[in-house]
Amino acid sequence: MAKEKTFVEDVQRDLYDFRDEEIDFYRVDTGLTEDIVLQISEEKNDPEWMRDFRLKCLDIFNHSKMPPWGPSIDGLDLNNIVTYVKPKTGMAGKWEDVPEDIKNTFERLGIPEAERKSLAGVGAQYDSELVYHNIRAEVAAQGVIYTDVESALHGPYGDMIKDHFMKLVKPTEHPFAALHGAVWSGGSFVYVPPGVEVEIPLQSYFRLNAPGAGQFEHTLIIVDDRAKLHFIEGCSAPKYSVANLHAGCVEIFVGDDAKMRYSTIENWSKNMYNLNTKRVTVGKNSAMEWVSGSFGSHTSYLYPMTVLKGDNSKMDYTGITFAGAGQELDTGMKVNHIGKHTTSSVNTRSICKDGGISNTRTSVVIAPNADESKSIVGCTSLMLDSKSRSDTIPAIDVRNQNSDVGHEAKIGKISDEAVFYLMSRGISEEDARAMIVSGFAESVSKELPLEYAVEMNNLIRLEMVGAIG
Amino acid sequence: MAEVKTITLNRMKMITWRWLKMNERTVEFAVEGSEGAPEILRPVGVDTLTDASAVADVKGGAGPEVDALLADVAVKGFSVAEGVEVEEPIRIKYELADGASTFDKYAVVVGDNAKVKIIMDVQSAEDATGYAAFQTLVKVGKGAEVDLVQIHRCATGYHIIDDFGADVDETGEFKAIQIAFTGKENDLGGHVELNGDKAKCFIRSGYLTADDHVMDINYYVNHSGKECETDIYTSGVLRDTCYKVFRTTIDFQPGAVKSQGEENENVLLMNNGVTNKTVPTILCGEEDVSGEHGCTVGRLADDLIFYLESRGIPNEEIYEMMAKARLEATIRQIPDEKTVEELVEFNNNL
Repeated sequence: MAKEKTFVEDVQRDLYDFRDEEIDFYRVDTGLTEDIVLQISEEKNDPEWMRDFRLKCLDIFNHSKMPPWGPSIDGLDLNNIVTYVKPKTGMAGKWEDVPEDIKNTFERLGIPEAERKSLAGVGAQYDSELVYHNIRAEVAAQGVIYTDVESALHGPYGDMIKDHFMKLVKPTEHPFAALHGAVWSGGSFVYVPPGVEVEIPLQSYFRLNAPGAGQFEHTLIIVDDRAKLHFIEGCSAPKYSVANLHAGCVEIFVGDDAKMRYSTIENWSKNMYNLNTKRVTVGKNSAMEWVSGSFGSHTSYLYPMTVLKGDNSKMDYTGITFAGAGQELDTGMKVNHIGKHTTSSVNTRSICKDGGISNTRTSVVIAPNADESKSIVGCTSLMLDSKSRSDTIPAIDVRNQNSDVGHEAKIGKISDEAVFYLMSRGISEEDARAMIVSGFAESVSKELPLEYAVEMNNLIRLEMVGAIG
Repeated sequence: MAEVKTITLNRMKMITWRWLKMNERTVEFAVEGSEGAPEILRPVGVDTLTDASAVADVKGGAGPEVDALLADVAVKGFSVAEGVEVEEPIRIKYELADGASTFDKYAVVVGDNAKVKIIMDVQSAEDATGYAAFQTLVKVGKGAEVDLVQIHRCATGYHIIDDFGADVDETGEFKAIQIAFTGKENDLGGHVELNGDKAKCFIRSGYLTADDHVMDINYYVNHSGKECETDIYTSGVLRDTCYKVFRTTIDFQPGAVKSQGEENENVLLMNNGVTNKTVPTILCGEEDVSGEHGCTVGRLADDLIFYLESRGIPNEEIYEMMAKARLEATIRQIPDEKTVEELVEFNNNL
């Protein structure tokens, strides 16, 4: 009888690695010029302030230098990147109105099914534009706004957008924030009014189909006082031989006594440079939770940042990174404690195999007035072979005498003792090793909202069982 | 006062976000210095090193700009022959003068299965100001054991750079203890290469930094041999508006199978207004290793304070007592009774 052998395989990608033909799509030229930025601005019918802001960002980008730290991005030539690709459709409020080929893409990814089963609203972006956005009537009736940023700019929330857009992530911070400001397109705007608790999550899904293109969606979420929201972000792309770029931006404003959870499963294809920026500011007595899974992309720079501004605010970060062959994933998080009695708890896990490189980069800053604050950071890395690399670079900056900061990091292989223990219970060595890897990942993956979206299940699946004769 | 120039030192092997201002240190330092005139007690069994090129491959931890600063400095060298175990330490004592710039460089070559201790005590005249840069490069032979102790207790006008480097061969052991009291600016560097199988590195540092002074530390330990071990522990006390950065990197190269590295830091902050920065890095290119890091920053544990307060000790006194105890714990690891006694008394009288 054939015996099953257990091993750790790469993340299953077949489901995401299909391509659609571009028919009648609108593309700007490759590269980044003032004409291209103005073209995008015109295409999106920007208000004047936004057009000026884009040009200012372009100027900042042209005068900025690439970061000297982090993985190489030499393979990314912006002269070959198309910054705006518009599919041949407007935004639909019903799946039936989405063009057949694009709808089929999202059907294959399981998005409409997930919406029917377990989501309060869905936004679906294809290349540079939202093609679908919908929110359940009962959630909309609570006053919750969930729409694309472009529509919101021209509606009653235009001033709110102006007051918040790139105010947390400033274009001067790094070149890709500036690039984002110049060519952003798509993304979601969410506003949850005071006291409204959205019990089931909203989800935005980003699909980049065009080869050699960039996706620069902007997600702006405002959770007002005493409100509650869970937002899920998913993304994928087919694999091409040319570099693609994702330089999105997420800005979240959490009011007082509010709660926000942001879950991300990132599974870009392995030709993708994922240079994404995410930031939240948290009001007093409020809580922010990040759940992050990074599995795809060729190169990632991804460090969600939390500013604990309000007294008694808190943040939990749970993240897992899986780096396989050809990948260098530089992931982690940043937290700044500004308010008094603020707390942060961080649990990062990384697995690397087949020459994959996983860097865990974190920072904890306790400001002088953040009295009685606490932070605990744990980074654990598992290396499955010696072709791979795993580096941990945690930074801590404490300027307050009465705060407590603890940090622990551990890098190693699968414990021989644990394998021995399991084998002494009759489990084969291969199964024991797989069981340990599975357990290592599970402590984080159990936090992922799998029940909300079938598609998520596929994105984070670590194939553990294969057959040998 | 000496002519100064800007130099960059203590740069991390793998840098991180620039806005944290932790990647390296940029300082104004004397362009040139004179050879120091330390009191050196060289015990029987320690010879003069005639050829300093023996340590040409040994790198310090402060980096190339410090190497360049000291490039033309005459080397003071010691050697210990194979199999010779020297009981008494080599004692090097500086009494730095006011306004001086002192640049000194040491080379130490320790033969296979030999043992030696080096204790360098750097002091200055009261209220003196000045610059001093030291570099000690050590070659540790197979099965050899070297203890390097560096003590800084200069006046608060002094800027000190003290850098060490060691290459450790099979089953060799290199131990470094750095203790820094006061001093206006202290830049400590260390670079250890565990080249041979089963080589070991043990680093302890203890510091008391106060006023607006600076303590900047950069340790890097590279594991190339199999079954190597590293244990780094830093314990410090920060007061007033001082500024401290501690960088440490444990690097496991492919092939360093069954090696272990551990780095720990414990910092007691005595006042609001201090700046305490730490970046403990683990770089890992080998699966079959174990690398761990732990750090605790902040105040004393509540249960400890409760216990001592219940014994009638006021809170402020508890902090002072624990600050001294921290330094004393590091002092007591110095493998020389005479030095321990002297430093314990010095610590108690601070």
